[in-house]
Amino acid sequence: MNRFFAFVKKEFLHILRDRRTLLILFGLPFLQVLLFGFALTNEIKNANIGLLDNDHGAHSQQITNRLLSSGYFQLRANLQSYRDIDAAFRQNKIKLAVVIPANFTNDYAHGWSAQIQLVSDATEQNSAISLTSYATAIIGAYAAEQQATTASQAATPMRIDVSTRMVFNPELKGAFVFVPGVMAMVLLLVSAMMTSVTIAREKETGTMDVLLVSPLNQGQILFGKIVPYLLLSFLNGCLIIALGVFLLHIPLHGSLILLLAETLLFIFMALSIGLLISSLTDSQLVAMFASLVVMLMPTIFLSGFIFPIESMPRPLQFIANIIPAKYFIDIVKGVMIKGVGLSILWPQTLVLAGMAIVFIGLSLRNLKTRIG
Amino acid sequence: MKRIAFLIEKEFKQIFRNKVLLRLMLVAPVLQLILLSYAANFEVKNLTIYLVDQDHSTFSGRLAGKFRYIDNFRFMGYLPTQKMAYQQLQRGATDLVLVIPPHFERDLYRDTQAPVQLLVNAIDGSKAGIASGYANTIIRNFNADVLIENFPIVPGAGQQLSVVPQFWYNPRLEYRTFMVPGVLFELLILIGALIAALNIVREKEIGTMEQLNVTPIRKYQFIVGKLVPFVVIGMVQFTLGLGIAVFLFKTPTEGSMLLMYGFALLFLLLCVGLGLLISALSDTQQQAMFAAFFFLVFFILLSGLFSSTENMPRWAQVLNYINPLRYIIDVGRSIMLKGSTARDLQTQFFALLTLTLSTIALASWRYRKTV
Repeated sequence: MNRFFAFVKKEFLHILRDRRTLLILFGLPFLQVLLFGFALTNEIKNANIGLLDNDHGAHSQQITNRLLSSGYFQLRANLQSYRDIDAAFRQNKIKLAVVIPANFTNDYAHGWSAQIQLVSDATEQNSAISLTSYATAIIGAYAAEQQATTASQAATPMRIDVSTRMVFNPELKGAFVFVPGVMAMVLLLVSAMMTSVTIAREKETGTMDVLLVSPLNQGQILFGKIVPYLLLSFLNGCLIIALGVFLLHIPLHGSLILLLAETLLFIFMALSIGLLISSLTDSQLVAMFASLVVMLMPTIFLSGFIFPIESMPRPLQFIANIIPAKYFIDIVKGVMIKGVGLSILWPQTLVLAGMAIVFIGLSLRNLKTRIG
Repeated sequence: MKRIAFLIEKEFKQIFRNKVLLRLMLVAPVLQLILLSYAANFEVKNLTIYLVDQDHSTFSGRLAGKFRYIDNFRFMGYLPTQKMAYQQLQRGATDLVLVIPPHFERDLYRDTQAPVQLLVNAIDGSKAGIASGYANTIIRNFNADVLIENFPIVPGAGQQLSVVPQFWYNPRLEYRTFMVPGVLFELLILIGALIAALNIVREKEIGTMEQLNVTPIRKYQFIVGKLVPFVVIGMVQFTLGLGIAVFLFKTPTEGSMLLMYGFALLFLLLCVGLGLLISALSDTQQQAMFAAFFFLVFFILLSGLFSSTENMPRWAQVLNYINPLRYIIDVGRSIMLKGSTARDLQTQFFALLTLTLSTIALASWRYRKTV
């Protein structure tokens, strides 16, 4: 047992000595939470637009004023022709062009059909859609006001009143989705990537052979490697939970103990993936690349953390089911936001536990055959 | 010149000898491009909905029918009570629940209005917004149908104002078209910077760096010798990615491919330069890896790959001035989708050039032949 502790201590010293890596390990969750929480918004604010006004009448003036005073748009260019729109788009000067045809005010005032064109640069498809819908809403509100002043409308009979309740997240905060995702990502990064790389490093520099001829048995070596990273990852997990709760005001409706226990389970699973990867390779570069390609990328793209799983094609949805982060994200959302317990989350927990056992079994077998 | 050639030959030999790495380097971009292009989709589809019908009338049945055979929704069935529906929401088994209260039909006829309740699982806020929008539209259309059946007079048209949206360069609003040009470059920085950084640190770690240091190789020769192979590999990957983009995903290519390659070359120099700089600052591969990771996360998230850079807060936009990925993604989208010319992209060109030169200068300054 003493030997084992000495070994664990050695691992800790390795980690603590490398200040820079340690700094990055704890800086990374901060950076991600900050960026995701405050920088990545789909909110429209002061988007650059161009105006092609061939009318210069009262209504076109008023509509333009409405658009520009809404806070969503700012006028970047007064355009003269359609060709200018193309040029402005190609130089990335504007995202949206409002085209008001000649005689617009005249047509509109006479009750004839009048048209406004909203030309958007749809290379950025998302923002094109939101810009168009914001502008449409503003113009629509203007038209409704005009109509209301000309003819007072009677109350419509037979109206279905829809009251929409946004369950679990009434303010529609983005943080509810990405904090669990960031947590899964950082934990995988620290646990799986770090362990696989450190073991590969011992192999690369030859110190692994030294360890293997020492009186420590294999189990001790394996667990001695795991323990420090388990602690480190756990600290990191707690940090992210704290950031989420105190900085981004995510509720913690469920039991904190359950959340921490599930976090430990996930870390254990991630560590066993790290062990498996390292038992398959001798080079740090390959270990890192393998963790990146096999683990991190699918986690980011297929776990439902950024892109909804239901919208993916069938084969990818199937693959998404074997990605551990998906289950962990479900669990974190369940405990923190929905406030549910094991009675609902047992299937996810079971899947994670099963994966951990499979991976650790595989890596134990691999390690044995290599040494034997 | 000969020395550089030897150095480059050595690098290539090392790279080709490591079969696993070579495979990973070729597979990673292809895999990611395919994954991202198919998986990256903010479209909201296959929304699951449960119905709690407490009215059991013709109207409630008709309203339920509206959700049954429609593209975006998957009708999961009826539930007897609202409590059970809430449990389904808790379990994550459904996205929406529509509750039609008792006397819905009667109220609709007798009073001027009848309420229904829509419960939306809003953990994913943006999805919930879209989902409730869809559901509301369906209910409103149903409402309009009912109205016309019972009050067949069309109210006076009055003033008419129509807004006609036009989506240029991507008229079908395909997400893939938007994503692919961006991903192409994101891959280059991911692989270029990481591999270059790790490669050099490895030489430090296993001690071959010292051997290189005692040879008569000059500093610039060393740097050129390290830059060239990785830039070449990057160009191969870029070509591969571009091939997939154009032939598999049918991404439009409006602009000049020559210009695209020119920018790719400049950007690759920057990536490998960044790798050099990181490697000059780290002692172990682990350090280099995490440092590279830190930069990449920062670059990628702020680059506008996922969300528009214009909407970001002021501090993020200021940070973005030194984000090479943001410029090059702009360039990729502009050339491929809009057919922008060199003259349109001057700002991006000079920004990238400045960043490239300063990164390489910084890296060569940090690289010391002495230990």
